[in-house]
Amino acid sequence: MIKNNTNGKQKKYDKGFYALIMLFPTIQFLIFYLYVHVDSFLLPFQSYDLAGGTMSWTGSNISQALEILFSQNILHGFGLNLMSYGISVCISMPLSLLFSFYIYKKNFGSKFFRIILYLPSIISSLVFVIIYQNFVERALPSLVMSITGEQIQGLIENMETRIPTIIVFGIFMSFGSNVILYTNAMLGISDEMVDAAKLDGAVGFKEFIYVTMPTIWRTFSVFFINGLMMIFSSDLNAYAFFGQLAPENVQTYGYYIFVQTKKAVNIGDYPVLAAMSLMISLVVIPLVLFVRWALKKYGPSEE
Amino acid sequence: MKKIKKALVLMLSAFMAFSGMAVGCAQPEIPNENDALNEEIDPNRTQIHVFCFDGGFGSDWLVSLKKKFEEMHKNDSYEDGKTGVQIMINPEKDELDVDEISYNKNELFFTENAYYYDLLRANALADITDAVTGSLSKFGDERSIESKLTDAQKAYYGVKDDNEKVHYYGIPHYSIFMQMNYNVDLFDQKGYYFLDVPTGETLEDRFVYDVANDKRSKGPDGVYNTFDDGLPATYEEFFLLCDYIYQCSDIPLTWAGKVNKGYLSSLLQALAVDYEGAEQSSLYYNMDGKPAKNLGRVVNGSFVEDETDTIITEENGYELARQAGKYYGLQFIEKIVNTEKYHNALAFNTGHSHMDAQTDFLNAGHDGVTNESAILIDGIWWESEATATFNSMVKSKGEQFSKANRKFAYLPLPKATASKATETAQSNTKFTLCDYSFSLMYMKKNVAEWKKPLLMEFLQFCNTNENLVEFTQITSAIKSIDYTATEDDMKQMSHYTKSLFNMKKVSDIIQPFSTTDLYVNNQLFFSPLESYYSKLPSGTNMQYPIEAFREKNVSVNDYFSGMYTYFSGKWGSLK
Repeated sequence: MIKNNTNGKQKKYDKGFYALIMLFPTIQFLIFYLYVHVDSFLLPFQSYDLAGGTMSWTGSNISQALEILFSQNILHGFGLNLMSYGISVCISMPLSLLFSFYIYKKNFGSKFFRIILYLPSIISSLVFVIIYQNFVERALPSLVMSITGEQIQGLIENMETRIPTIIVFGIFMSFGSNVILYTNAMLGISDEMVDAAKLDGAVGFKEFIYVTMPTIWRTFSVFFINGLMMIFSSDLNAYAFFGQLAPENVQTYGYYIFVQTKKAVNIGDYPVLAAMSLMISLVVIPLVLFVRWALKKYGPSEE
Repeated sequence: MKKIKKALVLMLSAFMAFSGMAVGCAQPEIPNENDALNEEIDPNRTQIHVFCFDGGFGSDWLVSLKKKFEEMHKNDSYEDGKTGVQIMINPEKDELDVDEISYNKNELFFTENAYYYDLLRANALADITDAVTGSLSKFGDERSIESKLTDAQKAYYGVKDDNEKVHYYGIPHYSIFMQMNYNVDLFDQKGYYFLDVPTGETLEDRFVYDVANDKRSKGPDGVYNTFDDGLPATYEEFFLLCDYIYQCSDIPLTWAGKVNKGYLSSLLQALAVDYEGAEQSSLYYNMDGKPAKNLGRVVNGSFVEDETDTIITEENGYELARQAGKYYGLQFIEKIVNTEKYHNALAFNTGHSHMDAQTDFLNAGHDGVTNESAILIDGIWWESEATATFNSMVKSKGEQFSKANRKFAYLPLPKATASKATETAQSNTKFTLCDYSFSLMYMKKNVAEWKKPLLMEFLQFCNTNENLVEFTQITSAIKSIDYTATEDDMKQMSHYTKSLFNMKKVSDIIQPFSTTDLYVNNQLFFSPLESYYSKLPSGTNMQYPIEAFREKNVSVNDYFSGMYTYFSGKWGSLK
C-alpha cells in the first residue's frame, strides 16, 4: 500500500516534470510558429487606413495580388525561374552528383576539388558576388581590350549576356551545398554493399547508377523538391547583384516580393505582398506534395 | 601530407579573412574622431545616447557638437553622484523600423528616410515643442528653431491637438538633392562658359576665349553678374556645352553605372520640380483643389499643353502624370542616356559604384590616362563621401588636390525651353529644389522625464545658427531649416559647399510629402522614385525611364503617354 502511494506520487511528479519541460517549447511553438503564421494568413485579408487608424477586412488584396502575379513583367520573371530550374535539374544537379561521386571515390585531386567546391558554402555569397561582378563587368572587358584592342561591354551590362552570366553564377554557387550533402550521403553507403555490388559487376558508372543513386535518393529528392519550391521564391541572386535596381528582365517573383517588402514604408504596404505569397503557396504546396509522392513511388529503391 | 593540410588550412583562413575584409570595404570609412565614437561609458557622468544615420555625411559633425556640449556641462549635475554629460554617438547605416525605436538604447535620433506620421502613429515620438518654440538665446542665437522652419515645414511637423494647439514631435535634419556638379577648375581652364553674344557660327564661337574678361551670358537665372553667368540656360545650351566639352576631348558627364537608374531618375525628378516650381510640384502631394497649369498630351509627336487648367483633387491626382516638367525632363534624360559621347564609358556598368564614379571624376585628367571630366551627376553628399579620395590625392600629388583647394560647384539646372528661361528671369524665385531625404531629428517617447529637458537642450544646441553652419562646413551639405553664414563662415567652406549655400538662397525647396489621407495611406506610391512608372506600349510596366530608353528603345512620347495610362489605372486601387 505504502509502495503504491510512493508510485502514485512519483508518477504525479514525473508528469509535472514532463509538463514543465514541455511548457517552454509549447509556448515557443504557439507564439513563434502558430501566432506568427496565423497572423501571416490573416494579413492578406486586411486593409489598413493609417490616416484613420483603423483596420478592415477585404478581399481586394487577393485580386490585386493576382493582377501583379499575372502581369507581363512578373510572368517574364517566372519564365526565367523555370528556365533556371530546368538548367539546375539538367546541368547543375547531374554535375553536382558526378563531382560528389568523384570526391566520394577519392579519385585524384578529390580533396582539392572538395575544398574548391565547398568554398561557396564557406565564404559569404556577397563576397562571391562582388568578385564575380567585378570580374565579368570590369576585368573581363579590360582583358579583352588588352588582347584584341576591342572595347566590349561588361557581361551583366550587356543585355544579351546578362541572364546567362547570372545563371552561370547561380550554378557555381549551388555546387557548394549540393556537393557537401551528396558527398556526406554517399559516405554513408556501407562498404559491404559496395563490395557486394562489385562482385556483381557494378563498377564505375554502373556503381553510381545501381548502388549510389538508390542509396542517396532521399537526399536527391530533397534537393529536387527544394528546387521546385525555389521556382517561386528564388531571386537568382538579383538582389546581391543589383540591389533594388535590378533590370526588369531579371526580376522574378522572389525578387519582386523581397524588394517590395524592403521598400515598404509601413504595415499598409504588406497585405498585397502577403496575398501574393499566399497565392503562390496555394500553387506550390499541392505541386510539392505531388512531386514528393511521385519521387517516392517511382524513384529507385535500396532493396 | 600534414604540411599540405596545414598549408590548405592557412590558405582557407586567409581567404576567409579576405572575405571579411571585402565585406568590410563596403562600410564607410571610420570618421577621424575615432576615439569619440568608441568611448567607454563613464559612470561618473550622465549619458545621452544618440543614433546617427551613418550615410554620406558621417558622424564627424556630431562629434564636434558632442565635445562642445560636454564642455558646456562639465560641471553640471543631472543625477545623484554624477557630474557632467557624456554623449554616446552610435553611428549606424541601417534605417530603423518604427517598432524598434521604443526598445532601442538610443534616446535622440538623427536619421533619414523617416516617415514622421508613421512614427507618430506608432506613438514612438516625444513632444519636443518646448525645444522647437523655446528661445536659443542662451546659446547666443536669437531665433527659435520654429522661426527657422518654412511654412510648409511648420504645417507638416506641427501637429494640432483637439484645442488647436500645435505640438512638434520632430524636426527636419539635412537636405538631400540629386544634382549635377561641375568642375570649376576645368570650366575656368577650358572656358566652358557661354558668351553673352556669340562671335560666329561655329560651336566654339559660342564659348568664352578669355575667361577673365569675356562677357558671359546671363545663365539659367536670367540675370547678369550672378553666380551662374555663362552656365547653360536651357537644355539646348546644355547639350551644346556637352558637344563642346566632347569636342575639347573631355568627358561631359560622369555618373555611377551601378546606380544609374536611381541617380538619373532622381535627376529627372529634380528637372521636373525645377520646371514646375514649388506650388505646381507640391500639388501631387497636397491635391488641395488648386489648378494644374502645365498639363498636356503628346499630339502628333509633340507635347501640346492643355488649353485650360485642371483643378487637382484626391480624385484626379493622376492627371499630374501629364505635367510638362515631366515630359521635358524625360527628353533631357533620354538624350544624355542615349548619346554615348555625352557620358562616361562605365555609365551603365554594374561594377562601377558611386564611389568609383567620384574617384574617376576627381582623378580624371590627373592620372596620366584619362581625359578630364566636366560634370558629375551625384547627390549633394558626393564631396563628403569622396573625402578619402581627396585625402589620398593630397598624399600622392600634393596639397593643390585637397578639398579646400579644388573648385567644384553645384550646376544650376538649365531650363527646358527658351520661353521657360525668360519666364524664370522675370520671376523672383529662380530655382526649385526637391529635398527627398525624409530626414528627421527626434527624441523617442519612452525616455525618463527628468532627462527630457537635457535631451531637448541638446536638440536646441544642434540647431543654433553657429552649429548649423558648422554642420555645413564639416559635411559639405546643407540643413533643411533656415540659417545664415557670415563671410568668415564662408571662408571655412569648400568652393562646392559655398555653391550649395548660395543655391539654397535663390531656391524654393519642396519636400515630397503631405498630411492628406491619400498620401499618408499610400506613402510608398508617392515617393519620388515611384513617380515615373509607365505602362509601355508592349504592356509592360516600367519603373525607370532610363531602362526603357536604353534597353527597350522606347521613345519619350510613348513613355510619357504610358505614365498617364499607368497612374490613371492605378489610382483606383489607392487606399
